[in-house]
Amino acid sequence: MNTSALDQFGHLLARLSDGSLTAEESILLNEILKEFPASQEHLLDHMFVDGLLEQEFCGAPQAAMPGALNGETSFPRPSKDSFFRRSASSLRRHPWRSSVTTLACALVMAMTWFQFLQRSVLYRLDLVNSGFESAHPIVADVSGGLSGWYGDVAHIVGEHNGVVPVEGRRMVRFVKSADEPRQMCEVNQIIDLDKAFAGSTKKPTAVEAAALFNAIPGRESASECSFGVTIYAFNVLPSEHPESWPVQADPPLSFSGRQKLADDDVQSWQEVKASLQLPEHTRYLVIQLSATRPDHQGEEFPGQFADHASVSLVCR
Amino acid sequence: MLGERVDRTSDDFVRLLTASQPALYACILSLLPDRAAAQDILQETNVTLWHKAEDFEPGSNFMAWAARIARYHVLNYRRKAKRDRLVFNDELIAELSSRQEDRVEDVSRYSARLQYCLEKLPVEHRELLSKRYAPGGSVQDLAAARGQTVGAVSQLLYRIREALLNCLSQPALGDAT
Repeated sequence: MNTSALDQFGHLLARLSDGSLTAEESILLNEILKEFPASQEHLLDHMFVDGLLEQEFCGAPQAAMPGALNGETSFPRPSKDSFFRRSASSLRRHPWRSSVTTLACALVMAMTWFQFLQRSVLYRLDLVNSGFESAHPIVADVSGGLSGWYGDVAHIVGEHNGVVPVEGRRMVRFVKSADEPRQMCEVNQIIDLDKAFAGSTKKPTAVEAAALFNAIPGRESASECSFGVTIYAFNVLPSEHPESWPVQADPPLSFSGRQKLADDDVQSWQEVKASLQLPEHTRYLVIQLSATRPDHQGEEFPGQFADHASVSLVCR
Repeated sequence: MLGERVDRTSDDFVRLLTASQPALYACILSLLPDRAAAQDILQETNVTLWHKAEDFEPGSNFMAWAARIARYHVLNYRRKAKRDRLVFNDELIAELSSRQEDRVEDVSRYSARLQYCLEKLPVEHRELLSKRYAPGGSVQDLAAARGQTVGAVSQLLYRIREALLNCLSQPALGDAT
């Protein structure tokens, strides 16, 4: 999904949750969900969280206890006026229940992870300028070759307004978007899997990408900015405009991303990590690091940074 | 034990039923983003679960069984509902239902971690969520109270939910390399 469709999808998802989706927007949402099947997972995730939050803060409808049924065929329907607010203390009445559940989940996850690791090998892939130590500027496109970071206006900088690179002497600063939407500034790097695994019998089945992010607290609330890592999988090099990946390209085979709200702590860096199961025939990956803000108060992002990008491939 | 059936009045079944309510509702809402309709369907699902209690195999995945029944009720509702009230078309709902069936483990994990992840949110974000999801809460009212546009509040709530989702989806153990 190109960035425009991603933004649109997020906007539609927000309005769906608000209950304010128009008929036209509903049609558009259906089209996006159909064209980008991976977005269906995102929708299910997001609306599930929405539902959990409603139950958490509004109160779960009471399931009738056995004695209350007495031959009735329906549970009593709570009126909107009778909702009660569930507090965290209600869940702490039975701490053993949540402890057992947590332990069970942890055991299942541990067993699943252990079995997966026994059959898989994790390879760290070398990104070009992963730590942004090279002062080579971020280019607008990759017309010079499929290597290095490219994208919106972003500068390689040293310490900046109290933000110190997490490693080495430099980091990347998101400056401004080169085109619409102006709220997002992103840098991308293309990975050619055939070159990365030339001569190897290993086959990558999944990819993890991560980066560290930081923001300076200022007049624009840092908590309204978010950072993101997105992975796109393609099977062919687009015949035209590879330099504009993934903004204006054929739909990817799959994509996955994670976002995190910026905190106000300039002393610590926040990690954002995304993972993606690779569809068969994946040939190229695009790793995208982004900073997003709600409204652009001025032309430049006031102070959002990334450092220490990494990509690992799971191979079998 | 083989052949053992659940007594609908047993503590275990009641505990499973009540504990599953938030996740069940959230599953229903994911397929039918109409809160009033989702509440009705939850009620209908509970009745069915209650009457079919003896079909549930002790030790099997209650949430998977309950969510399957909930999906049947969602599809049944869609058959009777007017088309213009439905967000997803028929082809899409089939795909979404299929995907949701494969996500039972995620559902259980998200529910178990919600409190932990809520506590990791900044206080002002938790307060915003509590106001949004309070009875009668709306994005419009929130925006008016905060002196912001509806769009800005909507986007902020969206990002807060995304942040929660990021926390909820973290594995229980640290990454292994």
